[in-house]
Amino acid sequence: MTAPAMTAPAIQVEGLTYAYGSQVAVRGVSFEVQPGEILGFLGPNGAGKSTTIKVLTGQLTPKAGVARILGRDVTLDDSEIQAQIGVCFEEKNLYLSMSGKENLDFYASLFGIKDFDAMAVLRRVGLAERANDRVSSYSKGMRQRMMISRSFINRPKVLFLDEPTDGLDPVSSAAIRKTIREEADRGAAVLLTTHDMFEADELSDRVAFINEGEIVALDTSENLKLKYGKRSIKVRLRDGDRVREEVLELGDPEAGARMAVAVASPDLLTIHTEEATLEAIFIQLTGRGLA
Amino acid sequence: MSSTRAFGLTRTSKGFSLTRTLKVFKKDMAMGPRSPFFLYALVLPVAMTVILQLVFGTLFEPKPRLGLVDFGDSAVSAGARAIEGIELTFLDDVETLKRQVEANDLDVGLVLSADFDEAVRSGGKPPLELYIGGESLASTRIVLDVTALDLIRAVEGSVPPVVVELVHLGDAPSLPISARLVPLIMMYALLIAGIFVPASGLIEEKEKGTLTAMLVTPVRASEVVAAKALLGFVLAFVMSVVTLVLNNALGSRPLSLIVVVSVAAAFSALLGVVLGAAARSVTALFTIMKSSGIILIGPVIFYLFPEWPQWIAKLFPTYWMIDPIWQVALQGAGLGDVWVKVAIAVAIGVVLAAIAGVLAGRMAEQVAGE
Amino acid sequence: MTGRPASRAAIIAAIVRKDFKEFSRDRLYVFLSALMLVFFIGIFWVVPSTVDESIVIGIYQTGIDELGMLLQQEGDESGGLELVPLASEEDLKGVIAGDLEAYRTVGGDIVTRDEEAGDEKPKDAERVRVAIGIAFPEGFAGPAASGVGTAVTVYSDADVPPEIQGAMKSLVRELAFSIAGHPLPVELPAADTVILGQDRAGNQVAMRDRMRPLFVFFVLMMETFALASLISSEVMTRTVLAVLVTPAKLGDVLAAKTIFGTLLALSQALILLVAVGALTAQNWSVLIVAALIGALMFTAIGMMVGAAGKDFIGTIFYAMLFVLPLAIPAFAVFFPGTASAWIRVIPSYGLIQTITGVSSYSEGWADVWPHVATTLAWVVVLYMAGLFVLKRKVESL
Repeated sequence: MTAPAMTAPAIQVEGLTYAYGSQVAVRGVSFEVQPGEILGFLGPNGAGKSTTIKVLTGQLTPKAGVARILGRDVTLDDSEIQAQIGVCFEEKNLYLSMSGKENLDFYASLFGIKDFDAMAVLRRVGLAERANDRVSSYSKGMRQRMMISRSFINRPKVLFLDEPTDGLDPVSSAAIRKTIREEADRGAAVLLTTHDMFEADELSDRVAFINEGEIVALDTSENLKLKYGKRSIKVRLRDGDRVREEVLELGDPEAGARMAVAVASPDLLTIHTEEATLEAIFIQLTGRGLA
Repeated sequence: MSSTRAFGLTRTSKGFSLTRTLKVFKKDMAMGPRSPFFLYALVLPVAMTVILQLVFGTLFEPKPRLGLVDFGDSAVSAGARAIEGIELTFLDDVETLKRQVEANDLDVGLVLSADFDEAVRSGGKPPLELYIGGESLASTRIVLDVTALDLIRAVEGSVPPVVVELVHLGDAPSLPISARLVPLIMMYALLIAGIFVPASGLIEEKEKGTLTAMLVTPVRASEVVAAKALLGFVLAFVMSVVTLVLNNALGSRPLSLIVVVSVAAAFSALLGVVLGAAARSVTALFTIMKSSGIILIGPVIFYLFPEWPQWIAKLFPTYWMIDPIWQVALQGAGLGDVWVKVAIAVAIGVVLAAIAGVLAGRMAEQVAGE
Repeated sequence: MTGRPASRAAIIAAIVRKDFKEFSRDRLYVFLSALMLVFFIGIFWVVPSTVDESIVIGIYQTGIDELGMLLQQEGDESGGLELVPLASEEDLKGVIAGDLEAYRTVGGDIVTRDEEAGDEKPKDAERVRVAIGIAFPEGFAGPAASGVGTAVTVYSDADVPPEIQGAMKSLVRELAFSIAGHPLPVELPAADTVILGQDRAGNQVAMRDRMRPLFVFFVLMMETFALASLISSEVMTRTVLAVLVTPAKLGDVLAAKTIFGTLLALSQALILLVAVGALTAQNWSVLIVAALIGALMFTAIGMMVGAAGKDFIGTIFYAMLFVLPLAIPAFAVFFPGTASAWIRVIPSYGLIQTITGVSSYSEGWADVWPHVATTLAWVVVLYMAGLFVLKRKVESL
C-alpha cells in the first residue's frame, strides 16, 4: 500500500464550503486525491462527508471554494465529468422492479457505453447467477454488491464510495475491498467514506478525519498512528492466579533488558505493540467517537 | 423459517386472543386521528352530502325552463308563476332571451308585448313571439307549448268546453334524486372508512416495520388483522349512521337499520383487511383501489338511473351490502323483506373473513422474509 | 470502457425505456389499467345511446276519429308524444297503476298482460311504460264541439312531475277547444323561425355521448397518478440521484418523464376514444391534439404532485387537490346550458369543451380553436410550474 507517484490530482478541493440555509455543513475543506490513490474520508454522522461528496458529484453547488474533478470545475455542470465518475450511494437507490442486469444496462446506456457486458461486471461482485432476477428479490448484501457494481460500469477515473461495505458479511466485505483496490490499481482515484476503521486502515492510502465540517487531520494512517499513537509494548505475565501487565516504553533505555527478561520468563502469556487505532486517534483529536 | 414467524405464530400464541386484539385495536384508535385517511373518512361523507345534494342534486331531474320577457304586465306572467314544476326566468330584453335560448340556458322563450293581453282579449290574434332552444327535449317543448297556450286561453277568457279531472294512481311518489344519491354517499363512507382505513393501516404497519415488531410479541398476525377489521367496522358504522342522519334517511325501523348497516360495515372492513393483507405497499393498494373502485361503487350508480336494467347491479358484490340499507333506510322495508340479501352479504363476508385469515398467515411470513 | 458520451436524445430515450420497463413490470397495475379501460368502454356501451324525449300517454277513447287524428297530429309534429291506445278505461288505469303491463307488438298494436292472472308475455312485443293517460268519455266530441262542458279524466302515477300533469290537462283543454272550433287567440309563428340553434329534437346528445369527456378525463387522471407515483418513487428512493451523477442532466430526466407520462396518458385516451366511437374521419385531428394537450396537462400535474408528496399518501392528497377542481368541467357537461363563469376559468374547461364539441356536436377546428388555444396556454403555465416544482425537489435531495 504505497502512495502513488504524484501526478495531476484527480480530485482537487480548495476551501470548499457548503451550508444548508444557515447551517454550515462543510467549512473550508481542502484536499487532493491522486489517480490510483484511495483517500479514506472518516467522520461521524453529520460531519460533512456526504455533503462533500454531493458537491464533488455535482449534486450540490458549493457556496465557496473550488472543487475540481480531473481538472474540471464541478460547478460547470459538465457531462464530461459525469462520464468519468462512478458513485456508490449510501442509500441503495436501485430500480427494484428491474433485474440486476437491466439496472446495469440502463446506466450503461446513460454513459453511452457500446457493447456493455453487464455479466462481466456482475461476475466481479458475485451476482452473475442472479443477473436476471429482480433486484426486489435480492438480499440486503446483494443489493449493496449491486450498488458497487453500478459504480464500476463506466470504468471511472474517479470513484466516490459512500459506505461501500455497509451490510455485507466479512467474506463479501473482503471481496468488495479487493475489487476497490483493483479499481485503484487500475488508476482510479477513490474517495471512500466509511465508519469501519479496519476497512479505512486496510484500504486507504491516506485518511482524512472530518469533524463538524472541517478536516482535522489528513495523512497516511501509518503517519497518523506514529504521530498520535504510543510507542510502547504491552507484556502480559502470569502472576499466581492473576494476570500482570507491563508496558515497556520504546524510548526507555531499560526497555530492551526488561523485554529480554519477559521473553525468557516461563510466565509470559502475550506480547502486543501498543499501536494507536484510527478510532483512538479520532477521539484524541475531536473528543468524540466516529459512530 | 424466520424467527418472526416462529415467534409470532407458534412461540407463545395458542389460539386467537380477543384481549390482545382489543389491545391492538385500542392502539389503532389512538393512532387513527393522525392518519390522513382517518380524517378523510370523517370529512368525506359530510363533504359528499353537501356537494352531491347541492351541486348535482338537480342534475337528473331537469325542470322545463321557460324564459319570459314581459313588456306589459301580462296575466300570462302571473299565471306562469303559479305553475308548479316549471323553472321560470324573467328577462328584460329579447336579445338576451334569444341568446339564452340558443345557448340552451332556457328551453323556451316567450315575449309578451305591452298590449299582448289586450290584443288577445279583443280577438286581435297578436303574433306569438316564441323561441325554442334547439337542444330542448321534444317533451319539454310540448309541456311548455301547451302550458303557454293554456295560459293565453285563460287571458282570452274562454271557458274550455271540458272539465279535466286529475286522478292519481299507484303508490306514493317514488324517491327524489336527493334520496337516490344516498347510496352513493353511503358507499363512499363505507369505502373510505371501512375499506381504506383498515387497509392502509395494515400496510403502513408492514411498510414501517411495526408489524414485525408486534409479531415478535405474543400477538398473532390474525389478531392484528382482526383489530384493523374492528377499526374499519366501528368507523364505517359510525360514518354510515352519520351519513344517513345528514341525509335525513333513517327510515322507520331503527333495529333493522342497525342490522343492515352493521352488516355493510363488517363487509367493508373485511374487504379492507383482505386488501390490506394482500397489498405490499400503499402504492399497490392505491393502484387496486383506483382501478377497481368503479367495481365497488358500480351498484350505486343504478339507483341514480332507475331506467337502466337493474339486474346488472346484482353482479357487483357490494350490491348485497348496500341494497339492504337502501331498502330499510329509504324504502321503509324491514329485515323480513331484505333477509335474503343480508344473508348473501353475510356469506360474502364469511368468505372474505376466511381469505383474510389465510392472508394474515402469509403476511406474517412475508414480513419475516423481508 | 467509456465510449463517446451518449447524446441527449439517447439518454432521454434510455430513461423513457426504463420507465416503461418499470411500469410494465407491475403486472397488477397493467392488468388493472386495462381493466379500467374495458370497464369505461363497457359502461359507455351499456348506457342508452338515445334520449327518450317523448311523453308516453295512454289514451282511452272510442269513436272520436277527429280526436285521434288531432292527438296523432300533435304527436307527429312535435315528436314529443307517444300515444298508447288502450282498450278500456280499466286497462288504462291498470297500466298506470302498475297492475297491468302494456306491450307494443311488431304491428304497432297495444296488448295488455296481467302477470298475476298468469298471462303469457306477448312474443315479439316491446314493453311500454305508461305513467299518465287520458280517458275520454264516450261521445266526448259531441258536447265538446257544441261547447258544453264534459268531464275528461287524466290518470297519473304519483311519480309524474307536476308540470307534465299540468301540461296534460292543458292538452285536453286545447283539444276540446280545437274540436269545438275555437281558433287560437294568437298567431303562431312559422316553425323555422322559432327554433334557435341547431334543432336536435329526435337527435339529442345522449347521456353516454356526454360521458366521453368524463371518461377521457378519468383515464388522463389515472395516468397522472401513475406518473406522479413513478416520480415520487424515484424521488423517495433517490434513484433519480443515481441517474443525475451520470451524464444525464435534470433536463433529460424531466423530458423523459414528460414523454413517458404523455405517451402513457395519450395512448390510453386514444384507445378509449376509438373504442367509444368518438374518432371519425372529420374530427380525428382535433381529438388527437386535444388528447395530446390533455396528456401534457396531466403530465405537468403529475410532476407537481409527484414532487410535492413527501410519501405516497401525501401524493394522493396533492393529486386530489388538483384533480377534484379539474373534474368539475367534465361534470358540468351533464348540465344543460352555459357553464358558470368560474367553471370556465378551470384549466380543464377548454379541453372538455373541445372533446364535447367535436365528439357530440360535430364541431371542427374552426369552432373549437379558442378552447384549444386557452387549454394550450394553461398547459404552458402548468408545465412550467411542474418543471419548477420538480426541479426544486430534486435539487433539494
